[in-house]
Amino acid sequence: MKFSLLITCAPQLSEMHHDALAFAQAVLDAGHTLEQIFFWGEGTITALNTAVTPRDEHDAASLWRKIAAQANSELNVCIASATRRGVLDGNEAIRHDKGSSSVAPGFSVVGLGSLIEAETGSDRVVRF
Amino acid sequence: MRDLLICFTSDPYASPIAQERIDLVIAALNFDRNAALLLLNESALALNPNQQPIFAKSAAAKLQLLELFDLEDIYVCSNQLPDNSVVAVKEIAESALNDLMNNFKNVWVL
Repeated sequence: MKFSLLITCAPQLSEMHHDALAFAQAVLDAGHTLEQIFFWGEGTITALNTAVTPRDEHDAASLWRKIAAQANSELNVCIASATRRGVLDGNEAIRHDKGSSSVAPGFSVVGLGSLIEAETGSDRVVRF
Repeated sequence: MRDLLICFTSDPYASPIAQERIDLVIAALNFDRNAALLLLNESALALNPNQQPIFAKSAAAKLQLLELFDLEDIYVCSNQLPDNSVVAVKEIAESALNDLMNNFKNVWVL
C-alpha cells in the first residue's frame, strides 16, 4: 500500500514526532511504500536549520532524513507555513530580503499542491 | 465516489492550523479534486458575519473566498451555527455524518 504522511505538529512535541517516525518505520518494515512526507503548519518548524536540539535529545530533522533516505521519499515543507515561521529557502530568503536559506538539508520547500498530489497518489494519508 | 472531504473541527482562531487550513481547501480545488468542506463543532463559528479579529484575517472572509474557487458543498454539523451565515451551507444531522464520510475516498480532519 502507498502511504503519505502529513506532519502538522512542531518537533518540540517530541512524542508526536516519535509516533510518526515509528509509524513510518512500521510502514516500511511491512513492505509498504512512503510516497511523501509533507510538513505543514507548525510541522514546518522541523525544517528550520537554525534550530539546535539539546545533545541529549533526539533531533527530529535528522531522524526524518534517515527515514526519507530509507524510503526513498521526499521531505516536503509547505512554503506558506514555512515562510511565516522563518523557514526560507534560497529564493524566498532573497525575495524577502532575509539573508540566506534557513532550510535544513534534505527538506524541500514546495507548494500545497504537493500535498494534494500525495493525496491523489497514495492509498492513505496519515496525519500526526 | 468523491475525492476529499476536509473537516474543520476547532474554533477558527484557536490555533495556527485553524488559520491556515483554508489554504488546503483552496489547493485541493485548484488541483481539480472533487472536494467538500465539513464544519464541525466550534469551527461553524467561522460563518458568523460579525467578526473583527485584531491579528488574524477574518475567518468569514476566507470562507467567502472559497466561492471563487467553485466549492459547491459546505456542510455543517454543529450546535453553534450562527443565525446568519456568510456563505450558503448545508446543515446535516450528526446521524448522517457517517453516510457523508462514506461518500469520500479520503477524509481529513484539521
